[in-house]
Amino acid sequence: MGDALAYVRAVHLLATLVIVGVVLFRIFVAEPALGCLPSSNILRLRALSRAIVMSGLLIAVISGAAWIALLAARLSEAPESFPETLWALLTETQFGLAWQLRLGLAILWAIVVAGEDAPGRNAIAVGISALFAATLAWSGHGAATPGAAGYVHILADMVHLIAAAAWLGSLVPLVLLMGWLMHRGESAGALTAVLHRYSTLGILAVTALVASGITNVFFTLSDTASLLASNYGRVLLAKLVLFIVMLGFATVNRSRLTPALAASAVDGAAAIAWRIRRNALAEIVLGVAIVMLVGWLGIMAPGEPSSGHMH
Amino acid sequence: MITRTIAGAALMLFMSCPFAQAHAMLDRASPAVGSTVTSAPRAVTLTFTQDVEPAFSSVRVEDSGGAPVTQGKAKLGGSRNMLRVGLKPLAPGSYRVIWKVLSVDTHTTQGNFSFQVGR
Repeated sequence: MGDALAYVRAVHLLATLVIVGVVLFRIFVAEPALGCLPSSNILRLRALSRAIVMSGLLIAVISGAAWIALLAARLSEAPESFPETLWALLTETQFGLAWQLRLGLAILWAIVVAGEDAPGRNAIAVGISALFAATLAWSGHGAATPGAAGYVHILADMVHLIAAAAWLGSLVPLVLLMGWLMHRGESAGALTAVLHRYSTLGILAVTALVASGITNVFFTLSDTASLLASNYGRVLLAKLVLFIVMLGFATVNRSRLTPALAASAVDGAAAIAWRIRRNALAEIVLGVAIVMLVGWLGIMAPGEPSSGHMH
Repeated sequence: MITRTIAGAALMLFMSCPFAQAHAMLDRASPAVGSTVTSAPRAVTLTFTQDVEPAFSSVRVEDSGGAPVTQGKAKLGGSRNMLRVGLKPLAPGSYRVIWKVLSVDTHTTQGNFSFQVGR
């Protein structure tokens, strides 16, 4: 049952990061960068964005429901008490209340997405999506840290989640958009514009990830002495390695390939663009692996020599 | 230079983890773990390392014969990481506290300890 819970958490986290990333990407990267394209293309972009968000929301809601159901099953004394355990979990715990809030946000978001384009809609979309990512923090370590320090910790967690969506989540629409632009034979200029804006978003996101990470270091270090001696520590190290490699690909794309694309002649552009896209795909694969690890980390105890301890 | 910066930043990043979960361990207890108290306590107060959910937490106190000596259910004490349960008047002797908590980040932990009420 622990496995199922880890998997479901990872799926939910991934769905959340991608749909939030799609919104941030569309509003801060794609539309500003491609403003020069015909409006029919912009409408196509919006339609694609809408489709991804709707399907992602569905996956998030289903995995969220599975998450709380698995938790309630684990906490039930007996199979017969499952319904009342689930109800108590939903209504009497912080996790349950956060779950209800997030379900409400998901419904609201679906309504906004399905609705007509209207002024202020973008701002609302950014607000709801950021909240949807941030409220995941209420199921995490930061939510359980006692006292005033808990507020700092949970704030850092929220920043961390939004930043992860802005970087990893927006890689998905980046790869899709690049594929679409390249297929249509759009100029390197359009691609470069998108990549430049994405780089800015990426830098801001990684900075926020590191800042919130540093904040959390103090909390994690004060809780656990021997991080490396445990299964938890080893999984954390694996995450570290994956992230370093991911950042490596991103750095190559930003520092070397994007400038090369901007400076390239027409016949050389396609090859460079292809490499950038391939690197971005590699980042996505690594990012998904990180999310899977986070799903596992979430059910492990930091600092315990091994999980002989069943709960 | 860049590689080192990236490695350092990544290390920092990975020491953090928004989903890092910790289990609520017993931090302090009153009466203290393994202690002998001269007068019978009116309540047992447990302080944990994490905030807990009272709806899914329990504290049982039993005498040496295994009979429960608590009054009412465990409730939150002064803060969200503190549980308190009332006790019936206790005779001198040895008592066992058996606790089980759900931390706010949905992990269960349990444990037990004993204390003495001395003459």
